[in-house]
Parts: sequence; C-alpha cells; structure tokens
Amino acid sequence: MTTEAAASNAVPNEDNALIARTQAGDPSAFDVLVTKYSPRLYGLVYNMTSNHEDTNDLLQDIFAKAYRAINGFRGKSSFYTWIHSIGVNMTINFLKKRGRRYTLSLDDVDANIQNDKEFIELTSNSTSNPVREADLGELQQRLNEAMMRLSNEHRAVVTMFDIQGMPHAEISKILGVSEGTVRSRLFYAHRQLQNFLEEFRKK
Amino acid sequence: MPDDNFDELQTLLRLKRYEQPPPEYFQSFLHEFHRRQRAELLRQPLWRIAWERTVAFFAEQTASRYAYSAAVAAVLLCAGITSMNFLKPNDRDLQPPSIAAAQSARLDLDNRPRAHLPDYFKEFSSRKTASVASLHPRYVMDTRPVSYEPSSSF
Amino acid sequence: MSRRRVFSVVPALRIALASVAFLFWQNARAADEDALSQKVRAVFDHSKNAIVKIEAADEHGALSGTGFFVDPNGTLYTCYSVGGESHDIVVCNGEAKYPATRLASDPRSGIAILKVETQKNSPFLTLGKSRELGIASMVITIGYPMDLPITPNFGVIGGFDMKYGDRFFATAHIRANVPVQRGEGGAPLLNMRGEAVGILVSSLEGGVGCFALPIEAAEKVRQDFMRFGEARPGWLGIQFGKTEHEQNGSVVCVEDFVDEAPALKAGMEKGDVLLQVGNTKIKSPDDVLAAAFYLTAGDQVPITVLRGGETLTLNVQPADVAPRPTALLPNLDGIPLKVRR
Repeated sequence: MTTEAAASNAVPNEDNALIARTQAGDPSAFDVLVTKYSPRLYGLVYNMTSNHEDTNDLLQDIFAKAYRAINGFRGKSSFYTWIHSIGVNMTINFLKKRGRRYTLSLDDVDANIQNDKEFIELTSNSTSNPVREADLGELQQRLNEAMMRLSNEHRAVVTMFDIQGMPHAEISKILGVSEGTVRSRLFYAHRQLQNFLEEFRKK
Repeated sequence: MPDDNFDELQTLLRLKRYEQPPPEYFQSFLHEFHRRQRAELLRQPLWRIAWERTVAFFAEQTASRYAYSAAVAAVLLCAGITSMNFLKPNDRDLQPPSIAAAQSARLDLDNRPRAHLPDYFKEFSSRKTASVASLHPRYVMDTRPVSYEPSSSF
Repeated sequence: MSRRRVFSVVPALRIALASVAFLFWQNARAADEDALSQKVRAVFDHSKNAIVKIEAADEHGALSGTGFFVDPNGTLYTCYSVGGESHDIVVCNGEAKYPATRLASDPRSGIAILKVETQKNSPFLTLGKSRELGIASMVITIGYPMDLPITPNFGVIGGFDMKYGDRFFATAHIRANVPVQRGEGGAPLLNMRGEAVGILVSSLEGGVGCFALPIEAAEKVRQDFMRFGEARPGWLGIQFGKTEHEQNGSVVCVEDFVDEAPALKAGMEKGDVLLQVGNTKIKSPDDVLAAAFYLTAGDQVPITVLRGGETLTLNVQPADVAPRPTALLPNLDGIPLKVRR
C-alpha cells in the first residue's frame, strides 16, 4: 500500500477528534486539519489545473466550503474522503468554466526528487536505457501537456491513482462511481497519455 | 500498436509528486485562509454581528451565571416587545423594521467595492446571508467578470 | 434728428439686438437639451416592453436579474449569473409573468439564452452594431435594479477593454460609464437609436460603471448553439508578438506557428504583420485576442497581412482542438528539470 492509502486508513481517530472540537466551536482545531490536508489537496488540484494561481484560489475555496459545512459532517465517510470529494468536484466544475484558454504555470520540482528511488533508477547509468536528466525535464513538460489534453474526468483519475497513490476503492468512493469505472477510465487515460508521449518521441 | 506496458509512464507520473510549491507557501496559505474567514464574517447581517457581540460582551462580564442569563433574557424581552409593537396586522412585511433596516444596511455593505476576490467567492457571501435573505432574492450584478489568463497565441 | 439723439439710439439698439441674440441662443441650447432628453425618453418608452425582470433560483437561493427579448418568438438574452445555472425561471413584464427555459449558456462569454413560449409575438429589441460606438458615445441601459420597477440609466462609453485589473476577458468588452445597480445583470446596453449593442455582465467597483459584452459576441454564441448545440471557438495556431515599428497601423506580427496550425496551412508565414482578422482591424495584440473570440472552427475567415510591403488576404479555416501553446518549446535540445535548490 502506498503512503497515501495508508494515510487514509491510519489514525482516523485523530481526524474525528479534530472535527469534534471544530463542531464544538474551536476553530484552531480546523486549522490543524487545514495544515494536514492542504499539501495533499494541493497536489490533487494542481495536477488537474496545471496552474499555480488557480490551484491556490481553489484550495482556499475548498477549505472555506468544508469549514462552512463542517457542522453537518456526520462521519459517514472519513474526513479524508469527504474533503477530497469536495476538492475533486470543485476543481472539475472550475475546469468546465475555465475552458481552453489558460496558461500552464508549473511549480518547480522539489530537490528531494534526486533522492527518489525511481528517479535514481531512471537516470542511473547502471540501467540499460538511462534517461538523461535533460530529457527527463522535457518528458515531464510533455507529460504535463499530455495531461491537459485528457478530459477532466480522466485527468482526475490519473491524478488520484498515479500521482497521489490512492487505491481504486478510495477513488471510487470519492467520485461516486464503481471501481470498474475507475479501472477502465485509468486504462483509457494511460493509453491516451502513452500515445501523446509516443508522438513526441517520434520527432 | 500501442504498447500496453505503462510502467515508464506511471513512473513519470509518480515523479510529478515532486512538483510542489515551497514549504513557506502552506504557512501563508493558512494565514490567507484566516484572512478570508474574517472577511466573510463582515458579510454577515448586522443583526447577527450585533447579537454575537452582545453574547460575547455578557460572557466576558464577571457577574454570576444567573446575572448573565437574566441579562440575555432582558435583551430578548426588549427585542420581543419592540417587534410586537411593529407587528401590526400587516401581512406583507413579516419582519420588524429593525431587522429590515439591518437588511438594507446589509445590501449597502454588499455594494461596497470588493478587492480581488475570485468569482466563486460570490457563492459564500450569498450563502451566509441566505437565512435572513429568504424573503429577498439575490439581486444579480457581478462585481467581477468571467476571466482568463492572458495568452500570446490564438 | 440731432446727432446726440442718434448716438443714444444706437447703443440701445445694440443692447436690444444682443439681448435678442442671447435669448435665441438660450432657446437653442434648451432645444438641444430638450431634444436629447426627448430622445432618451423615446428610447426608454420604445424599448421598455421588450425588457423583462427575471426571477429564478439556483443552489444559493432565489435570485433576480434583467433580460431582454431579441426576436418575436420569445428568445431572451441575459447574463450567465442570472440564467446560466438557475431553474424555475420566470420572466416578468409589469404584472404579466411567463415561465422560461434555458436554451444555452456560455460561462466563457458570461451570457445565457432563454426562451419564453408565447402565444403572440413578443416585443423585441433590434440589434445594433457595437462597432459603431466610440469613446464618449452616448448610451442607455434599462433594467430592474433591486425590487424597483423598470428604470433607465444614461451615460457614455468609457472604452473597450480586454481586461479588468488582473483578469482578462474572453473578448473585448464595452466599458460604459453608466451607473448600474444589483439586479441589472443581463440588462441591454442601447445606442441612441434604441438598438441593443451590448449585454450588461458586470459592474465596476462601486457600481459607477459597467462592462457589457458586445451584442456581436452574444450573437456568435447564439449562432454556435443553433448550428452545433454548443459554443465552437476556432483556433488558428499562431503565436504572435509585437513589431518594433508600426506598419499600416499594426504592431502585431506572426512569430511562430504551433504544430499543424491552420494558419500555416493557409499560407501564412513567420513575420507577416496582421492587419485584419475577420471584421476586426488589428492595431495591437489585444485586438488579436478580441478577434479570436469570433472565430468558428470550420468557418473560413479572411485574414489580411502585410508581407514584404504587399497586402495579402488569406482564407484560413480555424480548427477545433487547441494543443497547448507551451508545446512550442524554444529549445528542443533538452530542458533540465527545474529543481528548486
């Protein structure tokens, strides 16, 4: 299980305690939830919008909406699922309104990537077909463009599964569709992305 | 034939995790969140702000619990008597003028210039006042237009 | 008559003549003002029946705005916030109320198109040409502010803008120095002939002015929906930039093309100076973006360019899909990961 998946099951009591305190009238408890979930939600929204400013605005709105609705939160699902659901839905609605005219504004890559096992494997000279770091940058650029060519729904599942590491079951709960639908959307999206990248490599 | 081996693709996708803003961003995110919450509070109807302030005022007094309750009861009683005096058989206006005045004051508040709010923030201001505004529809005139980032291609 | 008496008559005559001239001049001014106010009143009286109050509800609750009929079949324009996502839409004109349905909505341009089923012909506004407006042209808006009855506003055009603050419009909007109030979203902007030349979509800070979408843009959206069932923007694939010197009134030139650019296929070349795109004369990069809104995928558009001193007109057929502008990477040799140190 990936770290994201583990996080969604681990320590549910901590979230519940924070929610209870928020509902009782302690707004600083909600601050802890914001601090805890804003990095993950940032990743979700950013990879769907590919624009830092839009992500920032949306993230503020997502937490504002969650805060206003917190009194009605009954714990039927975990806070994790609930806030991701709000996040995905608000982002998709926003993307529908934004349309096609927008600018990619991509965040810089954190230096920790160089300690990442897969990054090292990809670029190490010990593999049979290493990717040059220079080419890797361009591949990532092309990947970002390819992601934006997917439909909003397909981009959402790829973001959640591949980038955020959420299991199929969690994604299906968040989107409110069957696991089968999640899997087939993923397969289709992977095919599409692969095709876009192939086009680039042929040039 | 498309290659159904998505390993490299998925590795590249996973590496996108590292596309992040610097850690300072999330600290200022929380500050901004608080600022917006405060701004939203200002959009509450005047009567609600007044009521909350009254409650907070009494809560801060060192008088005994019973004095506090008595004071709150006294305020309620006054408000009740005032509203009864105005609730003559006039079916159209179900609210006492004090609240109506607060509402029209609120309408003016909403007409104040707004600085740099995204379009979907409209959603929150109307939500907050929905309970009081149930007798009045939301009169529409966007203060910010639909908008897009600039582009140098078409 | 003695000379003295003549002398005293002439100045008296002069004063008399001057007074009469002054009175004539005052009368003429009053007549001018009278004529103007009569014109404004005439436009109001003539148009008000075609302008309606719209009441509806959306996820936030009840709402109220303004709209206007544009044909005898009950087709209405309003702004997106009033008609775009609402339900239970009711259109009111005086005491009469009619239910309405939504035909189309386009958040990108900020408008919605509604329809009222009428037994008889609905009164409607004639559409004018916003291109005829210039800065300081007189305009009128007529709408339903708050819970007040139909009411006119009068002012002048302040400008034509592609942006407001840090946000950009999908096409050039008309900025009118006409005071507007809440509830007037969707009201028509009328010229002095009483023709609708715009739709009020948003106000300036403090309500001292407003932005109106040019009526031609609304008509483009309506045509797209009638023909394709959806908005259909067109894409040319041109990356443009500014030239050093103005040529034939324009400072915009083609810097590069995106892969498979329709403009390239039509024979456009790098360095071409853009002079006109469709009906829009190009002077600055803003004009190009404003013109881009009116392109429809599949509909040929004439584009006039200046190349080597010669003026050419190319027929370009815009395409549907727009691959990302950043696909045009200046340095294709390898881009390092931008790692934050």
